[in-house]
Amino acid sequence: MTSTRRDFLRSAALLAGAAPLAAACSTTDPAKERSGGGTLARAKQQGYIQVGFANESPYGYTDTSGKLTGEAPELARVVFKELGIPDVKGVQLDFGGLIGGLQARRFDVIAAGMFVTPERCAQVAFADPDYIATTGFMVPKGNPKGIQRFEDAAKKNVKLGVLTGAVEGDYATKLGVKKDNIKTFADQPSAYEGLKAGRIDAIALTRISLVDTLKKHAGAPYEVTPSFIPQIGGKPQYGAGAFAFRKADSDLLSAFNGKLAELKQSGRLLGIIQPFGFGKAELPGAHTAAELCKG
Amino acid sequence: MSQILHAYPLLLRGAWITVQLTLYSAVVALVLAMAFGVIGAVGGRVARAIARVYVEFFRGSATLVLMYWLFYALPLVGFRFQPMVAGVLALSLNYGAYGAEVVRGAIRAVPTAQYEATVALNMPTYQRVRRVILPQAVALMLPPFGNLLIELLKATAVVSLISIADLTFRAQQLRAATGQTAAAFVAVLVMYFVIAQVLQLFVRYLERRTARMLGRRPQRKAMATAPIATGTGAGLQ
Repeated sequence: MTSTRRDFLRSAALLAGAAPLAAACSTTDPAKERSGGGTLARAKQQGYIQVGFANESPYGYTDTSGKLTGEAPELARVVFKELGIPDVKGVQLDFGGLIGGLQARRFDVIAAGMFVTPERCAQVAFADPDYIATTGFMVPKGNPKGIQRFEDAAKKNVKLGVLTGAVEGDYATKLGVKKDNIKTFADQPSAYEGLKAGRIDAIALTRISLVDTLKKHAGAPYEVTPSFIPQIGGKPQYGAGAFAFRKADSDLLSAFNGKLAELKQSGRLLGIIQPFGFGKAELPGAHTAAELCKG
Repeated sequence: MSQILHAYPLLLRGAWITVQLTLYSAVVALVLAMAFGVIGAVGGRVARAIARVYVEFFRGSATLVLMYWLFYALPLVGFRFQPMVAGVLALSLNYGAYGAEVVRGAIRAVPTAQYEATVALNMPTYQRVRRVILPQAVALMLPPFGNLLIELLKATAVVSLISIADLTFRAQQLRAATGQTAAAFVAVLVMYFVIAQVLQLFVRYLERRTARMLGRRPQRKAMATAPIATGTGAGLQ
């Protein structure tokens, strides 16, 4: 008697658990998956587009109420609305997972202020940049180790903190910082805690991110060094952030670029990104993705 | 801290996702564990080999890597699981393998005399397992299952890396938005602990219930301290 009831309860529980799972599976067509394309039409039809972000303030992050905001998502909202896509939804991944996520169609656009680099250009299609960032270091007040450039860090055997998948690690390696002295962190708060705990001597990141982090810790004994543009082999490395698309979505890319150019010309761009600490110095000017992809 | 406390709806939403993930994964893992554990213990040679392969493969593969496979790599060859499904699948395949070993061990630990008695009574295999071996084995499985359940709860934290907004994910978001690392992590530490305690109460309840079912109810202690338990027991019958 008891066992029959138990049987019933057990199978009922299993079915209840299995039903939502079965409903949530979906298969894809591998050929279509690889060729991609059609995102613009689909997004217009469904009324929203999914953007990938890395939870990196102020580029793309969620505020304490859970709302997606930041320089890139807010700009995305304006541009996509004018393209006839009223809503922008966020998918959060680690910075290092963004390109993989884009290719696995987990979302359709990277809106994380990702720098345009030749390596990344081989994998994704960048829009024209929407800001230019300069690099800085966060160091203890007074900058006791005198770090102004990556070359200084290399010479003085300083431990540098960088973010996973971010360009600074690359710059540091190319400018002579030893691999052992480069510590990789998953996100800004972790890097900041690393600095506080003495695991690293400085964080190398865009000036904008560092100033943003410092703003959240009023009175902390740290400062951000004057910003600069790293030079590798005599070539300035412009840190230009842009949206990234799948290569197959060329219609979406060109529509986006068109709207972005309008915003730049009319001067509206600054108004959109200013609340996040971006100033006139960060405006992208006439740099294009094609030019930056050459390195 | 106040900023973090202020954002409690975000944390609660994350906790709800964590609980859902834990329960779904636990159910799927239990099915896998039972299936592979039982055939691993009493199946024929081929069935045992299949169970062995499953256990060794999934016990030995990292949940995170499995999850990355389901999330990033499978869409490129033809399957896209929703992030939640990818998470549940990776966790339950992993924990199902651990559980299968628990089940196998528990079945082996049932006294041989019990098995011999079923043979003497001429019971078919299914009846032996279903009526005699399993009911006794379940009582032995529950404590290690309780362990695994709590481990599973904590393992769900890795899903924050495949865009599922669980508790850890929300904590990371709050860290990025407020810069308050210590406060955010203290808050989720407490929340994980509370969820784990609830799960463990549930397992304890199951342990008592199974013991009663087998007529192995702890005698003096239960009688002295818990007349209520006796009452409920009577009520359930």
